[in-house]
Amino acid sequence: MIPPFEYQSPGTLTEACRLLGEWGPRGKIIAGGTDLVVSLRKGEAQPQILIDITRIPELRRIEEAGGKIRVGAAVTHGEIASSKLIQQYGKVLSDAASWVGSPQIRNLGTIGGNIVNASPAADTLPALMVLEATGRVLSPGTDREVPLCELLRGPYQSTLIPVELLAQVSFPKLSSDFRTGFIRLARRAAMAISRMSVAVALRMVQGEDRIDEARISAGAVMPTPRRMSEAESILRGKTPDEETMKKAAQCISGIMVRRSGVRPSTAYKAPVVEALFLRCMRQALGNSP
Amino acid sequence: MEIHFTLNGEKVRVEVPAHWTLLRLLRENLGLTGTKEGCGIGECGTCTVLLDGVPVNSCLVMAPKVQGKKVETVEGLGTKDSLHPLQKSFIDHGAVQCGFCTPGILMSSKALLGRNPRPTKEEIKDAITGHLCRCTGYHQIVEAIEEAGKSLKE
Amino acid sequence: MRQIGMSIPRVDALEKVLGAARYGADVSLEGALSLKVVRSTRPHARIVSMETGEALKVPGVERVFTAEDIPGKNLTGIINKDQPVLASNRVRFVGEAVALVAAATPEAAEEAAGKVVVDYDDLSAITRPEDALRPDVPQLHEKGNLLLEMNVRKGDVQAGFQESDVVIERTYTTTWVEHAYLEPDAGLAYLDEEGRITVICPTQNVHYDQKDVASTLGLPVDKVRIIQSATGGGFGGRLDIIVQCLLALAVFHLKKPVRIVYSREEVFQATAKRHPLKIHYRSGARRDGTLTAAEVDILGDTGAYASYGVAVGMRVAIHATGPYQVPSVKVRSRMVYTNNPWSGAMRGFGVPQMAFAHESQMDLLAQALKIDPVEIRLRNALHAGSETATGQKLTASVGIGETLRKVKEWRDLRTFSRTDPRRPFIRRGIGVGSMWYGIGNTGVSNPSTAQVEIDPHGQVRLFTGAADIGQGSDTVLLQIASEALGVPLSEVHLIRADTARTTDAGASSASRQTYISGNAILDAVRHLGGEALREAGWLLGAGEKDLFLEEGIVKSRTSPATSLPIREVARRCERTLRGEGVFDPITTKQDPKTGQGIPYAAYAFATHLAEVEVDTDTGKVRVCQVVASHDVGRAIHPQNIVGQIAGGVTMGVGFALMEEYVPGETDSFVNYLIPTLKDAPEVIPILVEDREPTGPFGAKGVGEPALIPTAPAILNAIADAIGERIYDLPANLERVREAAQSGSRR
Repeated sequence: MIPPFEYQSPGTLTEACRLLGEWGPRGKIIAGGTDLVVSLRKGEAQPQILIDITRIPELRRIEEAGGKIRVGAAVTHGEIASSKLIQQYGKVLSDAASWVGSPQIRNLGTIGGNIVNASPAADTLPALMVLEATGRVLSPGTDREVPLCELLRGPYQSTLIPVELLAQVSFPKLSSDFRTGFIRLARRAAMAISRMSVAVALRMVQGEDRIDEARISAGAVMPTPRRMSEAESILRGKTPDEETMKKAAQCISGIMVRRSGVRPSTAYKAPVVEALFLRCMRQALGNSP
Repeated sequence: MEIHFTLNGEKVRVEVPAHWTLLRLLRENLGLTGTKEGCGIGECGTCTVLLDGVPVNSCLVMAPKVQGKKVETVEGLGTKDSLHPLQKSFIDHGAVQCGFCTPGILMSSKALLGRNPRPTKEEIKDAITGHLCRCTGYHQIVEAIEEAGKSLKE
Repeated sequence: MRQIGMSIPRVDALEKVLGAARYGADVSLEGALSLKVVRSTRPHARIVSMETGEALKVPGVERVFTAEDIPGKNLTGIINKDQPVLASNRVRFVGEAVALVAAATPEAAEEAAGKVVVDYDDLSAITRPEDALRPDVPQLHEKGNLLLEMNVRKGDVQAGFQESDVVIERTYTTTWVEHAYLEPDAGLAYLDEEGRITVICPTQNVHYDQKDVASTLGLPVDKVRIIQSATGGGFGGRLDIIVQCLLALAVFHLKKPVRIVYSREEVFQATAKRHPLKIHYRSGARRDGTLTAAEVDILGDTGAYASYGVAVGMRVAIHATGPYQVPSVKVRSRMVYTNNPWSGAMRGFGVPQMAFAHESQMDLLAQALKIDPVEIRLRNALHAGSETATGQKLTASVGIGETLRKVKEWRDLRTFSRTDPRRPFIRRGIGVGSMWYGIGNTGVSNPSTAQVEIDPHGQVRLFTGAADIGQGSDTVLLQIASEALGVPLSEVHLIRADTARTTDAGASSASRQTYISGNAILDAVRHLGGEALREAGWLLGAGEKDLFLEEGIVKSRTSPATSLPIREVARRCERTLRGEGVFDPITTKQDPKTGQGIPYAAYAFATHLAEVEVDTDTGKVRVCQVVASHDVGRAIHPQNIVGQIAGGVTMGVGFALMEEYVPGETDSFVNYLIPTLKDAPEVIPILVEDREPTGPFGAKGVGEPALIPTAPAILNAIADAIGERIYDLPANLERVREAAQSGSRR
């Protein structure tokens, strides 16, 4: 059963930071609660207070500023999936968000929560990686912007300390010459955790059939999602023909095995992540459904 | 902790421990047992209510979160003498077998028809993916929702 | 007919759509204490000692019960009484109940339960059924680890195989499957004004519950009352004692109302599962496809306690051949105890697993002989006049052939492409699966009783002990009563599944309620009718031979103007007319050596055809469509039957592709996946009504048949798509991918 605690819903960032400073490790931030409440029910945490950040207006906004899209940490997956702004300038993220959980979960669960929960299978993380997202971290004394990968330490472990709040995640608007793709595989057709997911963003050399820039990330294949830079190098400057893409695909499964080690699931996951990557590339290139 | 919110159109004020979920508040404090607990972790949809008009798993919503908000449950959907078209349609189409998943699905359907009065079968399926049903195989449920949409429009 | 064949609104639907139906956790009483079970963390151990001191100190805790507090027999069980309510000195599976806490709040009960300290002395645990029969392993129960061995012998399989032009031999395995009914077990119990221990809970059989509760408490049965609450699904999982004895034990001692609500995790850990089976199957056939012999060996893991293990063991042996004529049969079915979670009844009692095996065999034979898979089934299908593997001569209502023909018709009209040019990794396939299923409990008496009353105000009451668990028996039984009485259904008041007011109707299982309780109700109406005729004779001054009943109206052979509705008779004679009915299917016991006998009075038959799409890169299977043709005898409520079929098919998709319970790991709907809306295929039901002469208005049953042919059809379709067969369920991503890859290598 969920253990007793106090509950505060600050209306401003200042108030939230103050509460965090006051309670420190005795408190926990709650946004949608879709991960936290499950955790509390299991007895995995016994906070003395929950600090609900969903009533802070800045954390609930999606806005465009300085060439970037800024998404408040308490924006829900449903809002991200249906945001015209994100569909236009970061479609890979709205695609990914539309797969999280169920409609009910998407109405509650937030992007900030997804990041801080740091599940290796989180759908939004690979998308955020290829968007080169950063997170704005606040605490009573600090206000810093860090690359997303610096927020993730390991499976279910963010790098945030108890007095810190992830307030916002931002990414540069993806220009219209970028094509993106997002693919995920699960054991049933809906409301299922990703067995594996792949996100790509590609930009071709103008007027040519060669890749100028490739960004690749995959979910549920490593302790924390990262950019697959070695595979990206293989693609850079090349024509996306079968041979090149296959090389990149094999590089990706190689990275997976190096970072996660060989496990019982590797025999399945290695060839399948390659297949999913190829499909994701074709999706981005507009060749295939 | 004292919480004020609107429940099925009426203002209510309750005193509940802060660590209670909305589900528990509804069932144990307010005696509204129409909303069910099937799993407690947001994976089955039987606890679905509308919070400010959108479907959520009430087993994952901490009670204090609903302060000042609108909550709708199956008890507010219709009465015996004045059934909501969804309720009537569910009965007519054989969409109710054991009935445990029914209240949650009714609420998600209500929200769906509110934003999309004539959904296609695919749109209905997309809206109801957060609900498990072990009895019906879902077919008659989808038909019932489609039918209710038609009659609501009229 | 006014009711039969009419898809009227279900009588319980209104309450349910209003959210007003009261399920096990919805009923409560002021001041009810909360119960929480303390469970074993060991698979097999002696309980050396139990410390409850710390638990009792938790504020609000009233009592911690152990086996010593059980006044009567601490052994329950639907067939074999081998399962304690609370473990006394030995635990046999992880999750077994060892103590019960009663406290003022659920939090206090949970806290206290966590503080009960049990000292276990580990014993060697048996985890594989193969090990259970070794001489050097612990004996889990008094009579050893073999719960059941059943043999079916007919003809001469050796000769049969010699005559065969092809012999196919394979091994099939299935694993534990969870019922996953949406309502977690829960209940309320209290002492009523008459001092009766009353339990309100979801269940599939109030009368059985009453007996085992009374036995546990050492009380006469009339001191115990079980009332079925609205029940959120059962599928066989609520046939065992789950919360009933725990609730009753607490009330017995505390004399206060108590309630219990299982968490979903508890349901996963501590309720019955579908039996994992290992089936070794050898089939022989002639060149023209006629079956000559079947040799089948089945090993089932019945887990820590017997539950329905005997029934499952017998059913799989009897159904092993499938719905076909096989002249020579040799089947051995063994169910063994292990220290795994107990296996019990689950929709189909082993036949879903067995059908996977016999239908895969039929396709393998078809392939080897180059015969169309539907054709080979038609050639061997049972029909009126056939003799089954247990030597039963089937006389009527054997619709398997018709279901095959209907499916074939549909299939032959369909154009179908095996590949998709836009997605080169896709392979499509079609597969067929057929089944037969005996209605009612296997080879034993399993009667239903029922009563019908009409009081002097003309009020009509139907009493049945049959539990409606969502399958719609309330409605169907009312339809039967209404039709027979000639009274509108809305004017028949139903009293059901309350041991203080109803009598035993057996369990809602084995797809038996329409057939058996339906017949019991007709019998009750006949008796009521007899009484009504006698009264009418008095009232009208007419002779016995003169009057007769037609659609609930008393008429005279000599005076055509006479027309007295049965309710009018009750009004005029100013007393309650009552009819008591009973029906027991005519069966015989199976011969102990050969299994020969008449295990069921009626059989349901069905054929499903599945169309699947296999992603050969990922192993993902999409079931696009299932055509489901069912011989139901008579469709009393067609919409209900279609609902059962759609639900059964969807459950079959889960069984085929994604459901596997792993003891110690599976604990929620996150790691146990049942099909969502998007996994459910399009279902095309085709009902065949081959009237069962012994059935009420010709009806049989459909609850379990709805599920059984689905997984076989899907697995056959996968094999058709990828050219490689899967022999172990579920056909999950990994298994399908591996098979698809090796299929394509050839």
